[in-house]
Amino acid sequence: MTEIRTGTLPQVSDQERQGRRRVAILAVVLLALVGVSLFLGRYPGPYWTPLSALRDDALAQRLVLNLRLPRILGAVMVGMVLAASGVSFQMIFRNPLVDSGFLGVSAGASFGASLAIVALGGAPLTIQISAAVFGTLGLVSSYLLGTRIRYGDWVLRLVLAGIAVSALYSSGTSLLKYAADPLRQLPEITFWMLGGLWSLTWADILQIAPVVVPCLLVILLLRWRLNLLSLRDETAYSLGVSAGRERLVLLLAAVLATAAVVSKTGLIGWVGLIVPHIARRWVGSDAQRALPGAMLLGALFTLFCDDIARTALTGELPLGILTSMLGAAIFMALMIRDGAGMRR
Amino acid sequence: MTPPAIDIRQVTFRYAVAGTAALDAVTAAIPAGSITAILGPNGSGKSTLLHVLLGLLQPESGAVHVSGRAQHGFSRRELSRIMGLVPQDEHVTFELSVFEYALLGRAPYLNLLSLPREEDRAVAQAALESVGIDALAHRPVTSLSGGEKQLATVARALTQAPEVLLLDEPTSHLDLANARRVLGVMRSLRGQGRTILWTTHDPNAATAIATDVLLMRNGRVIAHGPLAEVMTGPLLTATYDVPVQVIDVEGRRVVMVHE
Repeated sequence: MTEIRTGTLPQVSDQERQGRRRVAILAVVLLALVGVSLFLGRYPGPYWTPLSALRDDALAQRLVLNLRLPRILGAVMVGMVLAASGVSFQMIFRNPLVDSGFLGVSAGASFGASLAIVALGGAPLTIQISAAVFGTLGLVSSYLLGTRIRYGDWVLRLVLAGIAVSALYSSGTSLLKYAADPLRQLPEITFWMLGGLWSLTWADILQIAPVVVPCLLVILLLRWRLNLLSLRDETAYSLGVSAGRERLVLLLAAVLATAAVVSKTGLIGWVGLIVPHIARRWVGSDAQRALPGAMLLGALFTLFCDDIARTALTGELPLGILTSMLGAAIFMALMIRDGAGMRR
Repeated sequence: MTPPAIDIRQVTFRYAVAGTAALDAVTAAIPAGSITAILGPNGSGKSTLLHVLLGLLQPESGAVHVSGRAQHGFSRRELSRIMGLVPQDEHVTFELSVFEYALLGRAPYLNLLSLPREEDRAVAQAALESVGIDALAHRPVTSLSGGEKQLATVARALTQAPEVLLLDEPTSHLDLANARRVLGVMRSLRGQGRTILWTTHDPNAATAIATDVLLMRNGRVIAHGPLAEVMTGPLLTATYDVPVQVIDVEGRRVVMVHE
């Protein structure tokens, strides 16, 4: 029999301890921002609802409880879901440059939503289901195409496949927009694609939570396995990992959760790509810390952007525009600084 | 006599149904505790054989027995506690630390929902120490040099506590000093009752540490046995189809190709 020497018990490294501490810090900051966000808004005056109003003003109370609170919870959920799927996609496909936007999920969901608005009557539930179905279809077709492309390595093939599938769906969406009624349907499509949380109510939260919470729980519970799945198949196999089955479970959880939130909120770009990058850099690449870190950071980022979206102007800024703007700027800065962790 | 660590019986494998056999009735009993080098030209079936032993490829006919038990009787997890693999080109995409990477070798002992425990960390630490890279434990794997990275991969496989360690061309990308370091580590691992089976294109690496040699050509076994009996000019000439001479330099066999 093989004797395995168990050496000195390893010290938890400073990096690891620091990473854990930072995850805890993120959690505290998120709670604080949730608290602060309740008071941010444009009633009674611009930017801020004073505590006194909350005590004396019945409208302010209703506003905070029935409009702001579900919207804040929605932002937290959206951020967590997009970041968690981002981490899962990136590790499962062994590619730090993918997220749902790159793998045909977003383009598929947009097509599905547009199709529902133009051709299927446009009821909210129809839009959601159609977005979810076509989002999933987008991922599946990107993956299948990626396995068949005869050019470049796996990372490149998957990105190329995602671009091609997304382009195909986008052209379909354009066609639907062209065919849409310019007064009724076109604005609806455009608003959906801009993405925003303005319409979120408690009823919406209660509808998506039963999908989102279990999916996030599955991903969180399997977080250490993500490390194993980020190895090559041959190695994962030699470690006794049923890579195919585990990937399927995680992908399903990630896509279902993404489709559930995106169907309510429209496209919220870049969170899934940029947040995991920053989280890995901050708390370490081991998914044991990177996943919870990214989820908290994603919630913080989305909530922060949504606070700006609903407070900055008298009208409402679409959240998707803000996250894309900020996300793309951060991404460029990271790429220029050190290739976004793409050391090979 | 102890049973062979791996008993390969009449194994035939084809990549395409009607194609030529990548492995053609391969039979070999790998002695427990040996360091067996598999040598042969490109396409001779070396890597294919390792993949069949792992269960990654299913042979068309024949059987593999591991520690006296049919390989297909093991679950994948059971097999991964007995056999570890150091693949030819391990690619780590994310910046895991060397320690976090080595810890992945505990996967066969953890169920789906559990995280590595204190004792798993101790095993990973011991593995890093036994290949001599514990000082690098907190560096990102992606920042290691070729030789260090190969040792990290060996440590990850050792963390599985395998009885059999398979290595696919472990020294092929390494310079002389790093190759020597990896070979030295492989030799030191054998002392702990472990069987080591590895493929190489370098006959002199084989003569440096192997106890046994398996020569292959076109999916067939040319010869298999103790180093002294198999590493000979005529057998190597038959394997590689070039005139090979084996000379003795200070008690060690050196393999040379005639021009």
